[in-house]
Formats: sequence, C-alpha cells, structure tokens
Amino acid sequence: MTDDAARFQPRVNPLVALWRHSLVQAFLNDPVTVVSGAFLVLVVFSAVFAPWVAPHGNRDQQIPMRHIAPFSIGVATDDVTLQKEERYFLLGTDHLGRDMLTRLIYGGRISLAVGVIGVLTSGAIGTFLGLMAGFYRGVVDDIIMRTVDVFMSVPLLLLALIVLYILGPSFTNIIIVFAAGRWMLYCRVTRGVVMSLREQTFIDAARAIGCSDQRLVVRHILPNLITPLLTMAALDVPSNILTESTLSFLGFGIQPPDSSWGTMLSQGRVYILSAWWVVVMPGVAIFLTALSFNLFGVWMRAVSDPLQRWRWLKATKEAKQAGISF
Amino acid sequence: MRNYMIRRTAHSVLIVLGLMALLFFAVNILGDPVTLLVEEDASQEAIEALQKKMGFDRPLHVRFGEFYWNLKTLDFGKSLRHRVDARGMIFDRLPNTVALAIVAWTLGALGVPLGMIAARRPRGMADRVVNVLSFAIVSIPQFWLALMLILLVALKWGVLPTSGFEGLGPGGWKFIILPALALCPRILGRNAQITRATMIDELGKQYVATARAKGLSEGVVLRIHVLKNASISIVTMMGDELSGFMNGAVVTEVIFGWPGIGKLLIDAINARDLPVVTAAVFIAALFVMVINLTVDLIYQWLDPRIAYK
Repeated sequence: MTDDAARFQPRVNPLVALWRHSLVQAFLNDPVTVVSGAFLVLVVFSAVFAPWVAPHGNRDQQIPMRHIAPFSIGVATDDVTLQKEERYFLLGTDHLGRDMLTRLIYGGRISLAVGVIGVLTSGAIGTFLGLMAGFYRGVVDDIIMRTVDVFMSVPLLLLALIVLYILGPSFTNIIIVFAAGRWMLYCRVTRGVVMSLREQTFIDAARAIGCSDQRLVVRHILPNLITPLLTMAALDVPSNILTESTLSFLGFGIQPPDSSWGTMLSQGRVYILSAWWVVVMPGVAIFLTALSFNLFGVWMRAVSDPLQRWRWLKATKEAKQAGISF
Repeated sequence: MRNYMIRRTAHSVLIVLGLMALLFFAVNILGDPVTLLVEEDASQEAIEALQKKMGFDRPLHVRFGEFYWNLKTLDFGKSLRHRVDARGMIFDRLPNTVALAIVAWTLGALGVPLGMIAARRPRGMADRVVNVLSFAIVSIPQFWLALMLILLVALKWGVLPTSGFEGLGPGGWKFIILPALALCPRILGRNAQITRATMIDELGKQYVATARAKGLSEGVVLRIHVLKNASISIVTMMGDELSGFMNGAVVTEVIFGWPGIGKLLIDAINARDLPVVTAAVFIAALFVMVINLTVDLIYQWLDPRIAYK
C-alpha cells in the first residue's frame, strides 16, 4: 500500500483513532499492565456477579467440614434435604466449614465497594472544595486550606479509629472515615490545577462572552481535571482497601456476619497454626488487588503525562511506522 | 531564620490546637462522652453518677474552655482504668514508638539506592524490576505481613520471639526486629519510587550534561550532583511516611505486643478510656508536627536558595 492510499483512506476523525490506537498499543506493549488489568477485570467481575460465580453458598456452614485443606474434597450435608454430596473445596474451608473461595468472592464485594465508594465520596468533596478554593481565592481559600492543614496532620488510621469509636463500626461509617480522611488530597490537586487554569486566556474569553461562574467551572475547568483526578482515584482505591482491611482486622471495620477480606483475616488469625490457608488466602487477595490497582494507576499516570508517555510508546512498532513522535 | 522558625512553630501549634478542637467537637457533639466511657450495660444511676463526677453536666462552652486550659499543662485527666495521669502514660510509651520508628525507617532508607539503580536506565530491566517490586511491597497489608513473619520466622524456624518487649536496652533487641521488618516495606517501596521518579526528572536537566561534559564519572554525577538535587523530594516523602508511620504502628504494635502509643490507643479505645484516647491523639499530632518542622529545616540545608524570612 502506498502512502497516498493510506492518506486517502476514509476515517472517522483520524486524530481520535490514532490516539486510541497508540494508547491501546501502549497498554498491550506493557505485559505488567496487561496482567494487572486482567486481574482487576476478574476481581471486579466476580465481585459483581458473586452469586453466579461463587461455587458454594456464602453462609453455607458445614461444621464437620471445618478447616479442610485447599484442593480437597469434603462431604457436605444440605440444610434442607439432609442429602449428602461431595464438594470440591479449591481453597479449603474456614473455621465454620464455609468454602474459602466463596467467602473470598463475597468478601471482595465489600472490600471493593468500600474502596470505590470511599474514593468517590472523598473525591467529590475534595474536588468541590478545591474548586471553591481555587476559583474564588480570598477568605474561602484561606479557610479551606487551613482546614486541609489540620486534617493533613492526623494519620488516617488514627482518625478512623476515633471516628469509629465515636460513631460505632459500620459500612456507612467507614465511608464517612474515608470522606473525612482523604478529601484533602483531591482538594489540593484540584486547587492547584484551577489556580493555573483561571489565569489562562480561554477562561477570560469564556467570561467575556458572558459565561456564568457555574458554567465556567463545569464546562471549562472541570474537563481539565478529569485526568489528574482519575489517576489519583486509581491510586487511592488500593490504599482505601488496605486501610479498610486493617480496620476490620482490628475489629473496628466490617462486622460479622458481613465480611470483608480484613474481617476474614481477623477471624482466621487464631487458627494460624492449624490452618494456614485461612490467614494466607485473604491476605493474598488483598495484596494482589491492591498491587493491580497500583500498577494500573501508575500506568495511567505515566501515559497521561506527555513527558513520560514516549517511554511507554517508544518500542511500539506501529507507533514507529506511523511516525508518531510524542 | 529565627523569625521564620517562630512563625512556623506558631503555625504548627495552631494546627494542633485546631485538631484538638476537632476532637472535642467529635467527642462531645457527634458522640456522647458518657457513653464513650461506660460499658454498654451500665445502669442509668451509674451513668448519671459518672456524668456528675466527670463534670459532663456543665454547659458545653465551659467544658471547652476547661479542655483548652488543661491542654496548657498537658493535663488530660486520669486514666479511668489505670487510675494514673494519662500524661504520664503517653510519655512512658513514646520512646518505644520512636525507637520502632527509627529502626523501621533506617531499614526503609535502603529504598534510596534501589531507586538510584532503577533511574540510571528508565524502562530498562533493573528499572522494571525495582518498579514492580516497589509497588508490590507497598501493596502488602502490614498486619498480614506481620502475621506471616510470626508464622514463618518465629513459629516455624524459631529464630526470633513471636512478640513481647523487654525494654529498649541491649537485651531487648530481639523483640524489635520483627515489628520493624513488618513496618519497613512500605517506607522502602515509597523511597524507591520517589527516588526513581525524581532522579529521572533531574537526569534530564542541563546541569547533568555539563557535569558529564566536564568529564565527571557517572557515579559522581549521580551521587553528588543529582542525588543532592533530588533529595528535596525524597526528604518530603520520608517526612510524609514518617508522619504516616502511626498508621502502621498501631496495628504492628498490637500484633507484636509492643507497648507504644499505637497499642496504648487501641487498648484505651477498647477499655473506653477517653482521657487516654485524647492524650494519645494529642501526642500523635505532636509527633507529626515535629517531623514536619524538621523536614522544613532540612530543606534549607539541602537547598540554600530557599530563604526563610
């Protein structure tokens, strides 16, 4: 195919196609990112469709089958029909004879929900306050930023323990903890971006044609914030998951019969000598999920940064052929 | 410089005071201080008696004033469980947490040379390995790592004691190793990441080309020129990690039975011992404040262009 033929090929918005193309290439070109992305898809999928994915019932206790080792078969009794059946326990069972894999899948539901909802709440509050501070400056800015200073001086876990001590442990209160303990990060980033944007010509132009403040913020400033905020959020989810598991482990988080990965660990802790899998499995689940989020977030950050992007695209054959230089 | 220090300290003190106001607000308005003190099955008479005894029947502003007045002498009241001053308890425990922080942080400083190795050739093999490893070790739940260390090192191999404390003297060194090992990966990983990122940034700058052009060896360029300029970000990161140290310290101290501020706080919360909780939060905030001040001082030494007026 000659250059001319390539040039005159009909395309829908070639720039967009090219951008997407190179991004996909950058993704596929990095095996670490592909693996972590695939793992995240798996975890999210199994959490969302837990009732269909899980091999056994979440609260199906088989007391005689307690602490069965991974990769083994046990005989389970159905609660209603009292019929006996053989069951395969891929990851073993816990101290009440519940299937570990099933528990992990259901626990992932809560752990992921805490991570994601926590990020959404703190992100929304932080972004809103950051917009106010950066856009209006003056007294509003001073008040918000001094509050940020105060909140920044409390270690998150300490804040969490105090709040849960006062309000009592529950899912909602954990979300409140993350909202109160993480909003400052988003606030600072948003404020920084807004302050540099508001001096630029396109804001003056928008104002000159009569944009209201609200429209200015929503239509002209907010779109510029999406990339930095998304990247921060991707890196904040794992830290929330880790904090939630720590809280649950200490007994201040998700309470039984609900369970997150942290709750499972805290329940299994006493059996560490007789049944190692009860402690190892939830920890591995937390670790792999947090790691995947981190690696994926870092890739997002690198690709969205024009100064770093070329490193990830350098080796792409297609990018070279297309003559893209970043 | 002196004026700057005075202003900076005043700012920090204001932050700690603001934080204590927040704590007072949380305890007295979000929650009910009496229910935070008594067991769940306490009788109505017991609750009222305690209310009188602790002075919770007085108006809010009076108690708020008293709370601040007592802060001046670090008087948080007596521990309900141990019947001693909460102030004495936190100062007894503080050195233990500080010792743990120093050991863990020293181990974590090894991340800096790792980051330097990675930065020499971005996206090269060493870089990829260090990058993935650094994210792997910050993704490990600290309490889980602590349990695994106990399971393997202490129980299976029997090399070190599972938990406990025998003073900070030379006899007690065995007990600090596992808690410090459980705490250090996070600091290590963060140090490696931030060193790598800032070094890569710095290596692209003009002065590096000059240094190379005048014939300096790569090692000298890296260690003397680039590292010093990169160290501002590294010190910031280390400061952040050290002030966030309390996060990990709480759970690690609980698991290893290390009698520091973190364990004191958890024990106090479980025993519904409000004065000790308040004291522990105060000392943790003070800890963060002192670290931030120190970081500011180190900045000036690293970059004399930062003039404090």
